[in-house]
Amino acid sequence: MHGTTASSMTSNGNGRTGLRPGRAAPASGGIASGNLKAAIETFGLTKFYGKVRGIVDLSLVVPEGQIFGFIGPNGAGKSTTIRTLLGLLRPTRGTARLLGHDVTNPHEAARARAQVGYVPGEVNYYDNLRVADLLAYSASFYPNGNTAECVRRRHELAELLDLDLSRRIDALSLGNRKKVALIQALQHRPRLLILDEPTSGLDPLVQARLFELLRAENRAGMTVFFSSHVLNEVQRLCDSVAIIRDGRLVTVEDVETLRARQVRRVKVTLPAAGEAQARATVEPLLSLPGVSDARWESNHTDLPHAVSFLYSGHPRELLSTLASIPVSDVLIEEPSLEEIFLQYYGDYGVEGAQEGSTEAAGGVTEQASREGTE
Amino acid sequence: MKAMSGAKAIFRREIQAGRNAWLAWTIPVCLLILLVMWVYPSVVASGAAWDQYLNQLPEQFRLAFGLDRLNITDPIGFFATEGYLFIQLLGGMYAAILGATLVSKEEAEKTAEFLLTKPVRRSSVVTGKLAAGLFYITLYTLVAAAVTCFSFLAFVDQAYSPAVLGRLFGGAYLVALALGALGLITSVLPAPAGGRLGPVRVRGAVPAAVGAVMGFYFLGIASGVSPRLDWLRYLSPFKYADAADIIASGGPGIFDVVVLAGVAVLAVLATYVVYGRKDIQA
Repeated sequence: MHGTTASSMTSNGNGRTGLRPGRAAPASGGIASGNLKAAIETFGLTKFYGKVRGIVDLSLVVPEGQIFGFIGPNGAGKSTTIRTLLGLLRPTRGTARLLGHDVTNPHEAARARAQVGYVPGEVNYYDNLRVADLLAYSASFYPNGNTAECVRRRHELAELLDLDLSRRIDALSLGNRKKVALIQALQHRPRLLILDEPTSGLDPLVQARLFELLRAENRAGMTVFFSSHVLNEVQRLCDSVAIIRDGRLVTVEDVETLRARQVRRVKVTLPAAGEAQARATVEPLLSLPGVSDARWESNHTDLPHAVSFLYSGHPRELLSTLASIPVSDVLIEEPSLEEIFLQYYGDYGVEGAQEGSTEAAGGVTEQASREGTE
Repeated sequence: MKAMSGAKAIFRREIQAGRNAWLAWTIPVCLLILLVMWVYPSVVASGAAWDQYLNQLPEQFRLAFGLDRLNITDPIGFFATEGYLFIQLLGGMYAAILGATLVSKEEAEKTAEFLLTKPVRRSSVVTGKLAAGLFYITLYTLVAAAVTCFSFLAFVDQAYSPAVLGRLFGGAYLVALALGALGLITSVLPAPAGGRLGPVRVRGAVPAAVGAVMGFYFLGIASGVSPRLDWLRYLSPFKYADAADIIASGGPGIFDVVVLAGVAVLAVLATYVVYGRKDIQA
């Protein structure tokens, strides 16, 4: 269930518009029906909260039919972008189209949202309602809401996600609230699903089911826009990825390109030895192509030494070299997003680049714990 | 079930959500009316003693509560001072709380993100909630009026004018609408500058609404104490439907009605405009 093969990742990669079967036809019969190329388009989208930067000059196209990742560190502007698309925020400058509808026009925006499902990052509902009542209330806003098909779909999703519809919202755990959010976003069979950090709070099993569900819905024609700060999950699920940092779009890449740039942080602990000897031991390792940002670490007694570095070369070479030297422990993990950004996109002269580099110097553990808290 | 318009779905939801609050405001007021009119016959029986007691109250006090113009042994005069006052005051508070929380609670309880990402326009959200608020304020007034009529029929033998009772409730209704609309617009105004996230506090909205209504009420009382403070009456919605004015001089007059209705309509229109453009923060 977890293992995603490369082929399944790409099978719908460029399916785009031709793929949509009839059942996903827009219920409102708006301007946007039929031959749309972009599910989401933004043109120089800019949002400031007073003087505080939200997003700056963001121009992005999300083709219909894709699973599109939207990745960036916390505070990069992912939620601001999504909230602007959904009409919660008014852009300071620029425009955006959702399924062909101008999101700054209240009438058009509402019409677009009739074909959109949204899973917020932080799930808050009317606490005194039962799950079933909340879902019925949610559905009542949609043109095809609370039809027999929609109700059937609701129960199907509840079963799939293992959620008891008769419980009260305030009695639900964070993970279960997230499931409610998923069902209310999917039950009316949207043409576009927008998820803001959907995996936080979900246990791995449910997360795997969610990904399967998203792939199946995508094969049936639904576009998925998926924001995350975890590179790994975006790589597992998405066709293309937009990277955002400090409110600006850094790049849009297809996931294959991103995977080719796969980078890992490797930490090698050596048996007790003198410093000179330790350095000599790992010399073959550090001279491998694709090694960068090597840092030495020592414990209180200065023994044993450990070295950590970023590795973007081929795994085979790393493993064979590791096998040839005496090591007492090896840890290979995904580096933080900030580290990856610095590795590949460098300091591209935007605000916060300074901040980025000091963070990177802060070390892996601190980075990791910070990522974990958000 | 077929799909409803957003405003209708929201209206239904608010009707459901507001039922208990409506009962909590209406039942005590109805019991109070019944109690007040139930003791009325015994007040009439001791009429002379009452008049004597009232006449020895300080002049300012009598002016403030309109006792110079109201005859407390008259059924409507008695009702005005002992019952109507509370119908008006509690109704004003109820309306102001409704207005101040109906729309803003979605932001305060962070459900705005759920609601406003549905295919519903902000204007429909306001319309649905406004209709529910109007429904409950109207129902409050109608039930209070019905219970009053019943208590007059049951406990009052003296002659009285049903038309005056009608005008009293009409006045109370307009005051409640104006206060409700003021609560509504105040609650959707963006937070004062400086904050990135608009602090909409529903916990603060209820005491603020109660405080504002009490403040308006005391402004009205203060305006009666001395001619020098008479201008204060224009600041208090309650003085546009003053019981003594209504009973003694056939109010509320055109001016009163226009002011109260005008405040309500303008505040509601402003709510549509402000809420339609507002940034909804996470």
